[in-house]
Amino acid sequence: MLPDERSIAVLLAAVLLAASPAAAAEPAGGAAAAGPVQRTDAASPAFPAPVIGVDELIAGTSVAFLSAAITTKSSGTEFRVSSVPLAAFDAGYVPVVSEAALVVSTDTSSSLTRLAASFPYNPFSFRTRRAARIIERSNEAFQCGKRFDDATRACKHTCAAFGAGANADQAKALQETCISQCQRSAERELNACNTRRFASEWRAMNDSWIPAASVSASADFYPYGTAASPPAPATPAHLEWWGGMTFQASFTFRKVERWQTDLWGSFRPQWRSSGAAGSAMARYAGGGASVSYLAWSFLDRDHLERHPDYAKTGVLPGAALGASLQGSWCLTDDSRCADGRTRQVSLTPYLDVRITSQLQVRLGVPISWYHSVAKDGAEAAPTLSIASTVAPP
Amino acid sequence: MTDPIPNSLLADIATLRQVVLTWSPGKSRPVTILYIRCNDALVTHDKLVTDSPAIFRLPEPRNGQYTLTWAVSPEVAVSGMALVVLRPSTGARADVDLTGPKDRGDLWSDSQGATVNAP
Repeated sequence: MLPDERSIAVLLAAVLLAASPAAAAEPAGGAAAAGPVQRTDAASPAFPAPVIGVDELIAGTSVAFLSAAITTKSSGTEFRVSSVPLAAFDAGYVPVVSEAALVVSTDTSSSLTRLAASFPYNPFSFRTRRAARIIERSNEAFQCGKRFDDATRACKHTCAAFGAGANADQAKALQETCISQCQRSAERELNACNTRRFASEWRAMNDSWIPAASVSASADFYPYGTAASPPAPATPAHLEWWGGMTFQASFTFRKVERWQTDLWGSFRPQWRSSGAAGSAMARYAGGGASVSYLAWSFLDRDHLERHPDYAKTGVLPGAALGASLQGSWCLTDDSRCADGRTRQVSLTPYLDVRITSQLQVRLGVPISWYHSVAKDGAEAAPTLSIASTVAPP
Repeated sequence: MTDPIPNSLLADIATLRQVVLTWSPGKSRPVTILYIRCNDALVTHDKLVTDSPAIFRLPEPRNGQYTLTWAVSPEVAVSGMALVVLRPSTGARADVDLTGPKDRGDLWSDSQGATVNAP
């Protein structure tokens, strides 16, 4: 049974609400709840919705346990929920399997519902051996625990000299006050050191030539039923509910923390762009490349302890500029291609505003050019996406 | 069949006590132990443990008691953590403390000290 758009909208609203910072502060079920972990285990959760264009990524780049996005286009609205279900179970980390993601999306402009599965190899996960090496190096460099231990010893040593000349009770009271204040200061420094240590791990994790690689497959569905047939309105015709499969391979590079590059290619053996009665299936190939750069960061690198959200999630708050170039080619008989378009290319400049991992906004303007049997043309339409992840983020 | 192990070799095991940090989910979920102190002795510090539990040997108790201080930080979210003292030779256990869900980057610590009778 196809999900009703209204019910999915309600579900998304609930997910976005649950992911708000206020809700995240108090875990469901109370502090002692020992249920499955409903938070991200992996690397910096990037924007969970793909950049809009003529051949989009199927699964986006989010690796959070649960993420959701709403994209408003000139033609309609797309709702998307993505989940990494195995993150909720107490199982050892198995590359690819542990990060398999399921994605459900529905688009009001085409009434398309898409179910997708994605199998990523993620070198940025904190559960890998690579991460363990980075954490060990970070522990060695910061030595937060050793510093705290040294500080508390120094507190006791220094405070022992307090109260010389006073009577025993006064001396004891002075020493206790001294140790207590000294200890509090050491604890604050321990917290700050630990936050800086976590923040440093993100930079080391994200600074790699090793790309995240993923293979994805999706199945598309249109509404089932009958509708009046345009050539013979008196005769109801069956709608085409089966949209076809899409297979995709993608790579995500993050050599430098502020840059992200996505490359992908996709193939649709038999696919239709509409569920209208009589719409034909055709074979398509496509692909794209996206580059984004965090042009303006809200992060104060000199005082990373002020950014506990970054230490937890790795999301660099700020404004990122990006561009996505995408292409799609119809490989079958021209008459079967959607709207008679045999090739399409789109360029989407976009602006991401990353406030926290729970609230990210994307403004994009996809400009597409197409070549069809009848004519060539161009079109542009602004889009707005609001995305959220459930993370400790 | 091997010869029985002489008691002289087992004497250390009889008095052995361990502090155990356990967390859930615990498989491939790394945790950094910033420090664990016991009766003013540093047991471990700045150590990464990738799977639960983490086990460390304790010194002899003082007046039959252990006072533990600690700071622990999970590298990925966990739903609960606990600290206990064990005596493997008898199977006796003294619970020190436990906590609920902790996210990556959170700190679970007690610098004042929790005292338990040595098991």
